[in-house]
Amino acid sequence: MRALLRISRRDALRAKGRTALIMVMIGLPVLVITGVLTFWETADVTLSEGIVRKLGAADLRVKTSGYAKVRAQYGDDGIPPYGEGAEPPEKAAATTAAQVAARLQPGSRLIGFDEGSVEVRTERGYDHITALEVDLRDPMTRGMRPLVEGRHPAAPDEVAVTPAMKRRIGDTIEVTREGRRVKVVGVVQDPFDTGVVEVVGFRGVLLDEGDGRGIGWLADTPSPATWADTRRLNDVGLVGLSRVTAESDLSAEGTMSTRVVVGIAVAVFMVGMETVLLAGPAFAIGLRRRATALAMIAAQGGSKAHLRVIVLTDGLVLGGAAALVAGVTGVAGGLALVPLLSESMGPLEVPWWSVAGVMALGVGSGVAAAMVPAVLAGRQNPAAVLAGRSDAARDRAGRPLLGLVLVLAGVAATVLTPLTDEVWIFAASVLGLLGLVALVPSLVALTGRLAVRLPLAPRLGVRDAVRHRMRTASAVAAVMAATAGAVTAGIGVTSQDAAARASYSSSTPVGTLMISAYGADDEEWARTRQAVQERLPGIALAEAFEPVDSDGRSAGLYAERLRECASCTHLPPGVLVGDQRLLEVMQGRHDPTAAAALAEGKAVVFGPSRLRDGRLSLRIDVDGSTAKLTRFETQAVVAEAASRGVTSVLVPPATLKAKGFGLKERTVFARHQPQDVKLLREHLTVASSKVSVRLEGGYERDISIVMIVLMGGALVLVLGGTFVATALAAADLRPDLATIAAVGAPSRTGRLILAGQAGYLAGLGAGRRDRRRGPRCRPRLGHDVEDSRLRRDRLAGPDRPDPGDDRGGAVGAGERDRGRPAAAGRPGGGSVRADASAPSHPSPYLTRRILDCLCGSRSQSSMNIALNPCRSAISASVSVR
Amino acid sequence: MTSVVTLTDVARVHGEGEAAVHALRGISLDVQAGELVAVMGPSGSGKSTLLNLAGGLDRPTSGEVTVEGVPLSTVKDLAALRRRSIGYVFQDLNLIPSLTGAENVMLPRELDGVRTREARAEALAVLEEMGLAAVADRFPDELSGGQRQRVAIARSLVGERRLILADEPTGALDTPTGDEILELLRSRCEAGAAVLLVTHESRYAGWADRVVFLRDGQIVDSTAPVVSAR
Repeated sequence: MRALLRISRRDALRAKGRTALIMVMIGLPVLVITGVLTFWETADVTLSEGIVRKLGAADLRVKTSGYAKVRAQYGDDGIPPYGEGAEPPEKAAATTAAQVAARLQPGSRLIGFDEGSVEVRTERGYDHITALEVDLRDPMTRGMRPLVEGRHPAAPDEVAVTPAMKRRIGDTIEVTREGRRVKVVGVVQDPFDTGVVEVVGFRGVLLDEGDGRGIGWLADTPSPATWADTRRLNDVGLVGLSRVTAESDLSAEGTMSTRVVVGIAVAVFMVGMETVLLAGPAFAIGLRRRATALAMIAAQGGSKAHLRVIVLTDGLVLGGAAALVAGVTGVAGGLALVPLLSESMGPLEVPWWSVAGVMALGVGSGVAAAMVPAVLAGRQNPAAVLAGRSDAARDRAGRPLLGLVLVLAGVAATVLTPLTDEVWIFAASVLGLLGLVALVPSLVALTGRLAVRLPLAPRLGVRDAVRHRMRTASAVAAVMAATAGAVTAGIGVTSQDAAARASYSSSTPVGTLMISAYGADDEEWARTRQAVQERLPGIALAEAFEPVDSDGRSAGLYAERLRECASCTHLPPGVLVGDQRLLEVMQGRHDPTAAAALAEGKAVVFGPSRLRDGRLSLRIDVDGSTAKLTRFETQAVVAEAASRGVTSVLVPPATLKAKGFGLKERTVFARHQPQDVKLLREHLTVASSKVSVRLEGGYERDISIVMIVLMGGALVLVLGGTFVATALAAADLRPDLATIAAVGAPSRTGRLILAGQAGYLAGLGAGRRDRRRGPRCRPRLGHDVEDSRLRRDRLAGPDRPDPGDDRGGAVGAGERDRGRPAAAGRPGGGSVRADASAPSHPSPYLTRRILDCLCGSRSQSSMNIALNPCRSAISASVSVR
Repeated sequence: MTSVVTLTDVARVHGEGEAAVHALRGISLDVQAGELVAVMGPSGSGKSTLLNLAGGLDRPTSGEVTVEGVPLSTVKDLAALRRRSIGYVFQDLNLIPSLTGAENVMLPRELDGVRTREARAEALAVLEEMGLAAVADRFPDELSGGQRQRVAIARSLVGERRLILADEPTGALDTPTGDEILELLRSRCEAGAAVLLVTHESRYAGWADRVVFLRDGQIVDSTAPVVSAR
């Protein structure tokens, strides 16, 4: 083995160009993947890695959980007990430092440490930023927020800010709704995140701790804190974070679903196969160059196994070297890029097992790519090679039957795969792709016959490709795999997009502006209404009401589903309570029929699935209490909304009044699209911190970037595969090109031959038509629309406000779920002569064909050469050679 | 004297039916230890085929080849037989370009599973015996044509081998160097090896104990050289 490794290593050093090419092909994916993994691992700061920003130099961080008892604690999260006490009380009793001290080791010292967020006045309104209340002068906070400039706050009216807040020392800022003015005296830095916008001040300055939650302390204990200390705190509903408990952070431990495992397996297979298909021909051409050396080894007693092992060792040596170089470069690159590309950076960290796995994939790809050339090396006839006769084993016609079966299986699997799940689409398409790879040699042979009608240069190019079927098939398969992968992924993405677009639904028509302030009191709402009118002068507003019970508590209003199915969830549709004005906003016009029905006290349903015998079933519950749940039916009519996909219900106020519920206005709608929704929200938050502003923008998801990346990647692979195969063909064609030049062909003929072959390779590889169905855009049944919406909602979390989503996503703080229209449907916002033993010297066949062409009589046989002076002259020159 | 290689009524036919090419027809030849037999004949007469059959690189269509008393038809692992009993020397391209002289000589032994250090010691011993110790660590492209052939001959003798099959070993060399190679082969014969030499040039055949003439795959004459070079 040492002798074989020695030969492979030395040959690799002798053929530097080929070695570099193979190493790049094998190493590139390894480099990229290891780089990304290392980058990710280092940029990600786990609770344990970043513990200093939570603890500083303290031993323990204690905070209230809001629960009476904490059953289990993972990292910084306390898990409530089962049954009673599982829900946090509306307002917990304040926990005092003395109570906390009593649960700690005797002699412990405590200082306040609270985390939360605070509103900071800006030129246009208020911004919500992270806030920390702690005395940074205390030694316990050492390392928590290193001072960059100025000094730590020393008085209640002083704060320190992070650089990302872009405030200078000496600036005065207004914090909280109370307009508390504080002076910036220092700039501090989060040790792991340069992008965090944060303000640090004394306790009671920044945070509202009125609800008894989020209060915390830092503790300096006589001996290092243990799990026992934490358990004592858990018993009274406190969470105790120490360096020991930080190790149990569940969020740092990923569990992989079957879908993820399948996705990784498919990705590994596709990367490995693409590498093998691209590097395989390079090993094959290396085998041809070393045929004599291998025959010599055979003459000296090398067995077929020895020859196979030599070629496989090439794969091992090159794969190993490529993986090693790429792995090291990837890791170094990943580490070097973190500070340049990421604001967040933990300790330098390399995921060794993952990196080792990716490097093993590189080595495996190298060995796999050398597999077929190794088998051919074993079949080589040393006597023939040593006699100077070409011994290229006749390339096989592939395995068309197996290929056909796999293709059919792949098609069947893709048809049966859910259209909207890319991972399973990829997994199913791998079967078809393997079938196509098995079919490629037959396809090459088949398409080669068509070359008879081509001009000389492309004809020779195609026929050379067909003669060297293995080399050609490998390149075509590589191009095909890249194309098919991109096409499949593209179809997956567009199908998903089309399905999501088709099933998109919303509570209000596209172009409807909704401004609400759930949880606001009457005075706040009055201010908000006034602010809205001032900011939207001349815009007709339509009010929507929130039902309240006799005690003034808000009630949730839901429309019952009529159809039941196993996969259906029961998230509420949007139920609005409003009058004619709101109806016109919903319809975008005046609909006398619907208006009359609403005036008669009937509900108006946008979407028929909820009606039975003209009646709609509604449900009301107050504060989530099932005891007070009320169901009732009301007459309803179906009407068309201003845009498709609206699935809400409009109930007249009188209906609820008749049921004994009061109504309070907390929402207004308008057919209006403000230029800057975020700006409008900032303005309105001056009136109430509970303001939410949403513009229904319809289905919004831009897949063009995904498609550009997919097609760009496929293009690189198609061009790469074609270039490699053409370069190898150029090396193989050298004797034939010399013959062509010898008989007087211009130099461009040789280039045209290679171009013809390149075009053939790329055309055959990329010309595959994907057999997959086109995107299915229309839902099969009426309820599918809602089902997919519900699934998305479930994944996204129902009606959860997303501060970054201003168009269609709820904007604002302090929203409550109940009683407001559901923000439905927002995924993203919304290949003649098949003679393989042809000699390397000018072939008579080739010469004859060239003569036929150059003398302009392709149809005549070579027997006529003597009758044609042109041919005789050229023939004589060839004979002399 | 003992027979090292014996060919008995050996025939080799390439292809079948009308396309059949009779490369050798009923060849019988015996080469004894210490004997240098030269094979001469025009191109296509079957000289190389004869050598391939004698070395087990090819199998006869009929007849029997026996090396060191072992009929090759009974040997399954001909590669192992070549590693231990037969040494080949060709006109050119004799050495693996990526291995040094010593490593080329070591090759058959290493392929046979001998440890690297032991194989190197054996190779260096043979090279020193042939006056090639100074080039042991040079690569083939750093050696002259004559040196390359000498290294190839050294390789053909490493281990217990005493049959050298030389196919035009002087074809790429100038006359003085060619003479040196034949002198070396002759000396190996004197040391007990058996050499079957294929050559075009009667000059070199003069070094042989016997000259076999082939034409159209048949031995048309077998005689002692007219003029001896010795």
